[in-house]
Amino acid sequence: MATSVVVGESITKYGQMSSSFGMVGGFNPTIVIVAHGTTIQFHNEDSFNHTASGIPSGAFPGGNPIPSTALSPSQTSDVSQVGWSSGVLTGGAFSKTFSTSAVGQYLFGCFYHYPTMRGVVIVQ
Amino acid sequence: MFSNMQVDPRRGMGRNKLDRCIQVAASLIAGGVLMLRPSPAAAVPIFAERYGFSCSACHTAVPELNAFGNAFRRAGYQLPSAPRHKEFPIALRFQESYMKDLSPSQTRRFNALAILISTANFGPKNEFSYFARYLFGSQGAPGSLYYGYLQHVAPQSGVYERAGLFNLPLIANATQRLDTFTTQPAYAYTVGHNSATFANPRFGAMFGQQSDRLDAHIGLSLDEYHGAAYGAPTPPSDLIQTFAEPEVFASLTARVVENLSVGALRLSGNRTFRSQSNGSVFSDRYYRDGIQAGWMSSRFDFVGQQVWGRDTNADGFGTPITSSGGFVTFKYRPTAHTYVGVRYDAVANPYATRDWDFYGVFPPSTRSRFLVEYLRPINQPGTHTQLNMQLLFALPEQNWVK
Repeated sequence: MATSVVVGESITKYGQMSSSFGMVGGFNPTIVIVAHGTTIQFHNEDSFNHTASGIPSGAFPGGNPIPSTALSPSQTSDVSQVGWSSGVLTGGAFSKTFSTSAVGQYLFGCFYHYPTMRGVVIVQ
Repeated sequence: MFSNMQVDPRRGMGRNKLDRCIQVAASLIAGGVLMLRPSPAAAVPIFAERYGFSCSACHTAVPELNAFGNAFRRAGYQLPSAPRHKEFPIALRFQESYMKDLSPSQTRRFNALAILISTANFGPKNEFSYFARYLFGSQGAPGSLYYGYLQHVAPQSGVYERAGLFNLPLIANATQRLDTFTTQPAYAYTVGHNSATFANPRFGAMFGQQSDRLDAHIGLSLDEYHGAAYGAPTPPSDLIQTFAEPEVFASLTARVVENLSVGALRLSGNRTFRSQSNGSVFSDRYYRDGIQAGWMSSRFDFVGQQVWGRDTNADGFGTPITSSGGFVTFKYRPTAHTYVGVRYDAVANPYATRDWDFYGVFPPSTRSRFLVEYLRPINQPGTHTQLNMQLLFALPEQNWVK
């Protein structure tokens, strides 16, 4: 049976840390290391909107790379697929559950608060 | 510092010319930039620059703030956990307004206004900040400093101390982030000779706490803003108005359930009026008490306020005058960056006026808004409907500091 991980989102609670991917922060955990097949859900712990949206790149770009289509929940529910996004999560909301079907490293961030809010899912 | 002054007309004309030149230059530059560079930015691009955000992080349709923008403002314009980028502490807001229907005292259908904003955080934890807003004048009025204050805000608790020239914290924005063209009459009505309104910035000190659950404020004011603000200059008056004693403002608003806040406020003071022609002096002790409630969500806002006033001598003849003013606003956001609304206003100072205000906003770009407003007086002979439009945008664009 697949395990499940809940990742907290908060720009006020979770500070920055340096990593091999550059500065990351705003999520808890910020580097999400999971076994293949684990499901991931995002929880907005602030009182205002966030998203958790995939970044189709091997490194964090300087400008905001998350398109406005990320404001709607993506059709795909797999973080290994390009274009995955929780859509807008209002204060206190949980995202739909995302699967991790392929081993790899997947960058993600908040549409509104990138580059302050960004992290990495590492599927082993 | 901000007492009533006689303005040297020659200096006033020179300043008007200078302000007009700045407005024209700003409009040309801004218009060109808007047409050529439709890239994202923000209403106060200083903050966007500081944290690398887009405008939609803080705003619905600029300058209206979303929930995060309000939280950011309550925290003293800082995010302790976020890295700061380079920034240039000056931004410009420009607005061009069109009034189809003029009142007898108005002569211009098109009015431009440029606004300079400067802000920066400083101190060991960046908990100190200043905020300044300079208006370059509109409708022939000279420029003036509209806000200019220093503050300390503890970002976690929202406890703050502020000193300088600031706005009174109200449940609905009265001026700088007004969601319509016209200020709520309940915030702008005067009684007799007394110009004590809620919309006018005050000069003094204010203390309080702003959080998700509670907004509490208490302020002592020694004077108020005397410029022309967002409209035409006030007609000259024989009476010079000064604060006979510090004016006290207090308000308390609590979130009682999810999205619903209720509160009350009080404004009290004593003003002295001196005739320049005959030297006669009188004073007016005044009180304004109010209640307020707001249901605010990402899609709907439902906000109401009612104020009752009492002046002991606003006419200079010892006649007590009671007044009242109130409004109810319903606003709907079909998308994250547009809204339509209707506001019902009623004022009796003691002459009763009422109106409906219908309005809608959409953003031509992420750093601008276009507003259309239709104001319809209710049962007021001699008055007419008003159709107003406004284009507002902010400069510079985002990420221009390298």
